[in-house]
Amino acid sequence: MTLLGKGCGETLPSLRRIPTSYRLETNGERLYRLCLALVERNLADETLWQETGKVAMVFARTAIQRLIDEYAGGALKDKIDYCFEVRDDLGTGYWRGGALGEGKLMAMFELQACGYLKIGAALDALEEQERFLGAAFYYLLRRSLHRWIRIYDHTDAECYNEQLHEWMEQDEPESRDAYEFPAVDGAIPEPVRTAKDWTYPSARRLLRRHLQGPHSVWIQKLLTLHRLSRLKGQVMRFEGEYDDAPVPSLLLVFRENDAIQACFDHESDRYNETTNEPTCAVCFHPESRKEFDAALRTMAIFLRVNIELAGLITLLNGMEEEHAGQREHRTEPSLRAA
Amino acid sequence: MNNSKADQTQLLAELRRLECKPPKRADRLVARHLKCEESQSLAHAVAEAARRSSSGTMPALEAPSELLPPLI
Repeated sequence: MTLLGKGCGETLPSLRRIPTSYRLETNGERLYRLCLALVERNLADETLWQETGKVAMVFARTAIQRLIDEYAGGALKDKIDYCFEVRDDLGTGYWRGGALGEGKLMAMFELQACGYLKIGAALDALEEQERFLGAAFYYLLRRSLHRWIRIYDHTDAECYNEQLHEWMEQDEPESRDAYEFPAVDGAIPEPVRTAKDWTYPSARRLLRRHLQGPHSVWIQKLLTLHRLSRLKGQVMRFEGEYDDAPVPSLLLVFRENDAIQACFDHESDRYNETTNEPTCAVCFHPESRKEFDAALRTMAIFLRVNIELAGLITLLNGMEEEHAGQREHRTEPSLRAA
Repeated sequence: MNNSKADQTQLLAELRRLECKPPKRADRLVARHLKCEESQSLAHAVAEAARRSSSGTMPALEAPSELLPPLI
């Protein structure tokens, strides 16, 4: 009796000698120029070259990743998430694959997860110190951030609200009842609504008067962010290569689930329907010391602005959480019927 | 210190050599095909046909009879 018959004589082929990856190196000279620039500035060395198996792509990627990790040190974790890329062509949109220019590279940060800052409780606390101190804080924060990232705040919510009214007016009379309008005006604190003629010097002057006050940590952080935002970088300006502006990196609301957040929730549904510009991009020739240094500097400023913003998110959202139980309007619906 | 300086010089020389090295013929060919619209549409057509014919399930292979002979 035989339990098992003889094998069929065929064996599975060994995969040992079959290549499992393929590296296509077109425009490889640009990649090597980038590696050269990193080594010349002591941002990568022979040890890393050996560790990364002398593969230029892995070498450059690891060096840049280490540089970002050392610089940001996890400060953005769970606050704002960006992905960093270095490319030799334009990424998406109508101009997909479009050339950047002979020998050029583009370094860019693209948003992965938007930041969320609830500022209402902090503004109330500042207003208690002095009338319009909170409004000055809010003004300077918004304007400083606008220089480097796109944010979604009450002005965007107001625009969306106006647009919604226009749509309703153009719609059939029987469909108009279906429209709901976020109560944006009611969500904006009175001092922010009232004080509109701010300038940088007037806001800074008012804030500096409270540098020794109970909220000095917030004000110092904001003034640092403001100083950083005024540094000059070589940020790339796009001219129609993408369908839309960058996706907002920060949602700035006064209260959790307020009308501004409701507007954002409605608008954000269509953010990924089109191609968006990267949040921050810089174009450079890697062999040009001046351009490479300008690119490094621009990326460093961008990161520093975001690090300071992440610090403010921790401080101010903490303040909001502490005061969350004390407000009556917390449970009010953020949308109201027309 | 001298060692690290020497290593850096050596690495820079190696990277410069690689930078000047012309791309391999196979790479040039693949790059040309990646840019060619006809190649792209052909690749898309093949991938689409494969997706349709596979119907998303793993094909069950028939075991050769020699592997499972009758017990007696």
